[in-house]
Amino acid sequence: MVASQPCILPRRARQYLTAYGFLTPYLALYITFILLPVLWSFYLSLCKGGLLSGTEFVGFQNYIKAWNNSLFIRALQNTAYYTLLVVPLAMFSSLTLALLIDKMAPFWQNVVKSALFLPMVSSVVSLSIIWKAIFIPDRNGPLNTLVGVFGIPPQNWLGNPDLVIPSIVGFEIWRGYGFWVIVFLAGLDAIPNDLYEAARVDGANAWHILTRITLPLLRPTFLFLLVMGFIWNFQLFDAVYMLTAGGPANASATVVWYVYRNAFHFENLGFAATMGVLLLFIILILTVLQLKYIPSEVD
Amino acid sequence: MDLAPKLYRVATRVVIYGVPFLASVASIAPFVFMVLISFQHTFFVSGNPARWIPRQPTIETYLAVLETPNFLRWVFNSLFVASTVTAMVLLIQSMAGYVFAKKEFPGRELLFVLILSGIMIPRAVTVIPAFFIVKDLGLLNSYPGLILPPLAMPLGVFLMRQYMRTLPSELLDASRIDGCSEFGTFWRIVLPLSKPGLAVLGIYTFMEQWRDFLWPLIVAQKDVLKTLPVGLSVFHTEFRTDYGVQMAAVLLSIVPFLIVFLFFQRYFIKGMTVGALKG
Repeated sequence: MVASQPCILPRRARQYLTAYGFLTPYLALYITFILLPVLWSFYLSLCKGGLLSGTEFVGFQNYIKAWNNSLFIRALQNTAYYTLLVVPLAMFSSLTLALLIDKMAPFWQNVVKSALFLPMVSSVVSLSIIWKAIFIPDRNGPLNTLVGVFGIPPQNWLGNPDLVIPSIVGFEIWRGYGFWVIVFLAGLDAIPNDLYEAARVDGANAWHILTRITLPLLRPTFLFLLVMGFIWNFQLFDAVYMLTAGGPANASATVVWYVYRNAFHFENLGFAATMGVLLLFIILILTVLQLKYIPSEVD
Repeated sequence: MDLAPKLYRVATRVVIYGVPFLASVASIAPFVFMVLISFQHTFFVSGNPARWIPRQPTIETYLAVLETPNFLRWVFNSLFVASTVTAMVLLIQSMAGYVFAKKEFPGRELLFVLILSGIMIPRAVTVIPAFFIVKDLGLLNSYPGLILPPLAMPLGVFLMRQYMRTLPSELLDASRIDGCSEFGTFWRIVLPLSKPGLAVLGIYTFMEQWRDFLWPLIVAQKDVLKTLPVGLSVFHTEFRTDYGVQMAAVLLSIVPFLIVFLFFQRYFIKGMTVGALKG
């Protein structure tokens, strides 16, 4: 116990003051760049106007407009389509890889981890420039040469409205699965070894160990990646900006892409804010639902 | 009789090593392609079939990149912004994390929940008003405009609180009895003890800043203030058909950081999984 010290202020008040003193720099930043912007966005979503023309209060008009705006609905559908492709595919491939890598000798584990991690070190912009060349629709394009080996005819990867989302999904998985694998490996690392030994003593085979021990114990990792995978992919922007600029004919436009266009190119600030707020609620609801209905506890 | 289990064992080993090996090749192949193309000027128009290995390698592509007016400035801007943000996040957010971990004060729970919920807010919501705020503060096209808003990202506060909760309170009390001021205790006792947590947060923050695109795209409109990703996003459209120059630029933008990565690989992998730490 600390003995009470002679001091002008009572000890407790002084303690509170210190605490707030330490907090002040961060709180100032948080209020200025997060709390205030969120409240401002709510207000802007009830306005119309732009960066140059100024804004005017219009009530809930923007929300009705969003509901009837076919481009926004399209962007929302595209965003959902991206997420529903990326999350399960990345989840399955990275889990499979992590289970295999876990069985490798430590030296090779590190080699593979470094290789998978390479794309994570570079910005999406750099990676997109490489992949734009890989996606070249020409018969000699790198990807077309590769699929040609399997007898598939050349494709216009980013120019075909049916192919553009799967192409970007491929890029996003290539770019991100190193991270997913490493998170799964960390989850596998956390499973105590005695559990495996006990199971082996009891005569369990590899399949039983996988389905009764490994997978159930990976549940928290799985839930984390699911929740974060949704939050990240619902905000897909960089790759769309670089690879397709939303095209062809808005076939690859995402919500954040459309927010950016409306705010900084179309002078539709209020409408952009409305879509941002709607995105916030969609992410919030999905996150709450996932946390509520998918058990993370290990039985 | 003997052969079947042996075959099974060989087959498992082939799968265990083969699949991750193929995945590694898939991860690296685009980078190999980048290096090869960066040494030739006109790649796809040139030959049929395409020439992957340059017959007459040239470094003109690299010279063209280095002659671009502000390329080296973009490299500097990226390094400067990312390291400044990292240093300030480490100081400011660990101060906040420390208070939430070790101090009692009114409004503590409420404030913490409020800050934590900031993690879920999409950038698309904060970016437009943040642009106005930065503009009203007169910070458009300035380093503070690039640096200040990212400092508010709440993950570090949460992370440092989790880490500092594990520090023994007796030690902190002892230092206070020895006459250390509150800030002295924090600076001389708490921070040194939190080094592993700080390392992870530092690497994570640096990586996020190094790769960030949306915010610098909006706030840095002057060419001299662009960060590498923003500069490159414009640059590559100017050399639309010269893939060699594009690849050279990408390579030059990746290499400095890649060297750092290879040296500190282990810490990076830890730093990037920081989001996975639960508590």
